[in-house]
Amino acid sequence: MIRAKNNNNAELLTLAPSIENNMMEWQIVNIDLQKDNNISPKDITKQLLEKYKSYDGIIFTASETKIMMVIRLGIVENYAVMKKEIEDNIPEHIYRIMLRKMSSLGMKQIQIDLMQKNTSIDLINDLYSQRVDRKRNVIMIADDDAFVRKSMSALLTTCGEIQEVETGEKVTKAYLEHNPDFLLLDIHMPGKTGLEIIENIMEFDTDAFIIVLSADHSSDNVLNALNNGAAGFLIKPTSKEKVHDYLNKCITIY
Amino acid sequence: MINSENTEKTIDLSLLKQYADDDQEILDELINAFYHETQNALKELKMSKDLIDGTRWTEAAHKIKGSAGYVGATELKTLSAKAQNMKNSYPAERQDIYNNINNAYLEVKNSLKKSAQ
Repeated sequence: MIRAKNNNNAELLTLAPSIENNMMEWQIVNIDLQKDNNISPKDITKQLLEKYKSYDGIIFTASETKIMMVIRLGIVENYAVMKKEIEDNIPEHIYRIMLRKMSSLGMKQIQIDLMQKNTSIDLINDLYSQRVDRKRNVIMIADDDAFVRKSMSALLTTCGEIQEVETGEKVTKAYLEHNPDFLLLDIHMPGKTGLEIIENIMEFDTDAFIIVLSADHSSDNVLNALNNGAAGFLIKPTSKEKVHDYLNKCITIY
Repeated sequence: MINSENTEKTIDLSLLKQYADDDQEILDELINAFYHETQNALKELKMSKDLIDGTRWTEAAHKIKGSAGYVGATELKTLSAKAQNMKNSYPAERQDIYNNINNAYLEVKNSLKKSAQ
């Protein structure tokens, strides 16, 4: 691991080439900042994102004094070693995001600025812990069609408390409010599409269990949903068995 | 119960019955919601058929397609799937398929009413 320590913010980005020269196929870089910086960590992160935009990897503001980067420069020969080192050095919630995105051939460019999203690490961990600890299941059904919502609600009513959301733009807010164990999500909704919603939720809850329920099962839609972080895809209309199969796979449903 | 042969061809309520756990009251509620949502989508389809931007048209058709599957309305589902792909079609073509969808819906509605008797 390379640890880049700077006393002067202005030098942060000029240090990068020297790091690059020592890089193997992938690299973890920790950048420790001084507390009295006159450039905010957010701004430095933005500059780093711009500088490394052609690389696969992840750059994020970990705290007021720390920026972390994992950058892939070529095909990773030993994926297991890379995974282990990342696991040991990257905060758990970030690692979980990366696990969903990376493979031996590469990682998608994912840019996370936790501070910009106004999301604290505590919140991310809290959401999952709350779901594990509480003694009831919460199931959210997001679909603009009231008939579909009612149908799925009838099917799932014995499985937990049901929360219905009727427009795309309300889903993320409702998610934060109710913290569902299981989110059944339509793709075509007014305000925001299901695919956008999955991306939004994954930014603050990498353990979210989202199943897409859509009549539009084009390969693009299915792949995009799964790539964005959905745990599964169901085609409308779906059978009771298929929904229950997914419920059984959701760790926090009891 | 589904009684007539025509009803059997037009709809299949086995899935909704499964969802409702064979509770007739819940099944009636679901069917009423189906009427309400499909009729709204049909209105939207009618209102948007002459618009150059086909977004509203395709969204309304997509909605009918999704709902039709739940009541096993195969013909209605097939027609609305076809309409969903007519984003850039001429108004006259959309009018034709709208008429067909409307007729298919009326058949579904009749079958649902028969099945409730």
